[in-house]
Formats: sequence, structure tokens, C-alpha cells
Amino acid sequence: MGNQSEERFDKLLAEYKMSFGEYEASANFSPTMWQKIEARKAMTFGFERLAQRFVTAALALCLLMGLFLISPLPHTSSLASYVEVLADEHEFMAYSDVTPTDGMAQK
Amino acid sequence: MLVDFELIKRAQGGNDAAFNEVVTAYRKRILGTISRLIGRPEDVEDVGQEVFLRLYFSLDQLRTPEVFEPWLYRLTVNAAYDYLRKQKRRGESRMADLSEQQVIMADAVAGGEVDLEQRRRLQLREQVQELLGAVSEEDRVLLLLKEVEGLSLKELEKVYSVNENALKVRLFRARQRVIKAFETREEGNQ
Repeated sequence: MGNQSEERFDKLLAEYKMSFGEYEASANFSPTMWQKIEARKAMTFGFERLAQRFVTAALALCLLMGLFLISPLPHTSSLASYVEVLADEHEFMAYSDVTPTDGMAQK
Repeated sequence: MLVDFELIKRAQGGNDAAFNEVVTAYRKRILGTISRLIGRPEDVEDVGQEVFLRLYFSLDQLRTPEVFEPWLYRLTVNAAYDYLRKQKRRGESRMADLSEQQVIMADAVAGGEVDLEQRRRLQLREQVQELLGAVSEEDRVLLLLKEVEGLSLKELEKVYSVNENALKVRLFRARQRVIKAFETREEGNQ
């Protein structure tokens, strides 16, 4: 049974091959293929452009942030010591505690 | 080789006219192989276009023009796998529904326009495709490349980049499984 089956199976495959004959491409084969190639190219090109823009924007942002960090900040601490600054602030808060609010002023 | 190395090199360099010549030279062979691998004539050109599309965008990765043909076969095999897997995912069992050609044929039969020979050929294809359903898409393609396309083990080794012994084992197992399905079918028919 085994050998006979193998022979019959080989014959079946040979007939299967014969059943197809030569394949002739349609007239649209190449034009459609080129359309697909162009579409894929356009998609890839669009993605590359988007990626380039993103990289440029990221670089510009990095540069701006760098400039911001390097640029000299206004000197708020000046020559006063930490304790002096704290004392000044406390003085200001104590003064604002006794300032009447708008609601109280109306009364 | 159906084309000379110089033409492939020009196509690799981005010459579209050269690429078109390569397509024209290999089109018939590749489409014929695809038709026998997938068994659905109405989708052959789509899969064929996908093969040449992949070739166009990967040609620059080809190191030497000497390996062009195994490379092209590999692209063909991969496109056929992708197609067969997609078909399986869609739940379109190979023979459960009628292909476009089968519908045309059925209509023609009803109108008495089809001769017996055509009907026999169609039945034969259906039978083989059904038997090949006994193995995976990968084994089905491998078996067809060996048994129907007539590729030697050396050629298959280049296409698959797998050693010859491993291929022999895979082929033997796939063949045995299909033959078993064939025997079961024949027993059922008797």
C-alpha cells in the first residue's frame, strides 16, 4: 500500500503541475506594480520628512533650553545673607497680617 | 540565470528601466510558481506584485548578484506564506468557499460552456490543495517547491538558508503526512 500510494501521489502532483500550464501576466501587471511602488515610496518619503521635522524641532527645543539654562539669572539673593532674607520676609508677612482685607474695609 | 549580473547591478543602482527588465524576465516564472503554491488564480498577480515590490525595496541589500535567484525565490516563498496565513486568519478555508475562478467555472458548467478536461483540471487542483491542508503553510510551500517546482535540495538550502539534512527531515515528514491524508481520502472513496 505504502509504495503504491507514494507512486500515485507522485503522479497526482505531476498532473497538478500540468493542470496549470504557462502563466501569462495580464497587461495591467507592470503598471499596477509601478503604482504600488510609487505609493510605497511616497509613504516612506512622507515618513522620512516627518521624522526630519521632528528631529529639527527637538534640536531647536534643546538649543532653547540650553540657552535658557546658560543665560544669567536675575540676582535675587544679591549680597544679603540667608538669615537677612528670612528676616525681611517675616517682617513683610507680619505687616500683611494686620492689613485689613477688602471685606473688612467695607464693614 | 535569466538576466546578466550587469542588469541586476544597474537595477541595484536605482535604474528603474533595468528593474523593469528584470521583472519582465522573471515575471512568468514567478507568477507560475505562485499560482501552484497558493492555488488561487485570481490572487496570483497581487502576490506577484508584492514579490517584485519587496524585491525593489530590498535589492540594495543583495550582496552579490550571483545569489539573485535564491533571493528572489525566498521573497516569493515569504509572500506566499503571508498570503496563505492571511487566508487562514480570514477563516477562508482553502476549499470551503469558492474562488473567483471556481464561480466562473460553475457558471460556465451550468451554461454548458466548459469541457470535461477543464472540469477535471479544476477538480485535480482542488484535490491537491485539500490534501496539502494536512500540513502547515511552511511545509506545504516547501513540499511544492521540491515536488512540483522541481527545486533540488541544494537550491532549497540556498532559499531557506537551512542545512540540507534539516530540510530532508522536514520534507520527509511533510510528505508522509500528505500521503497519509491521500490514503485516507482514497479509502473513503472506495
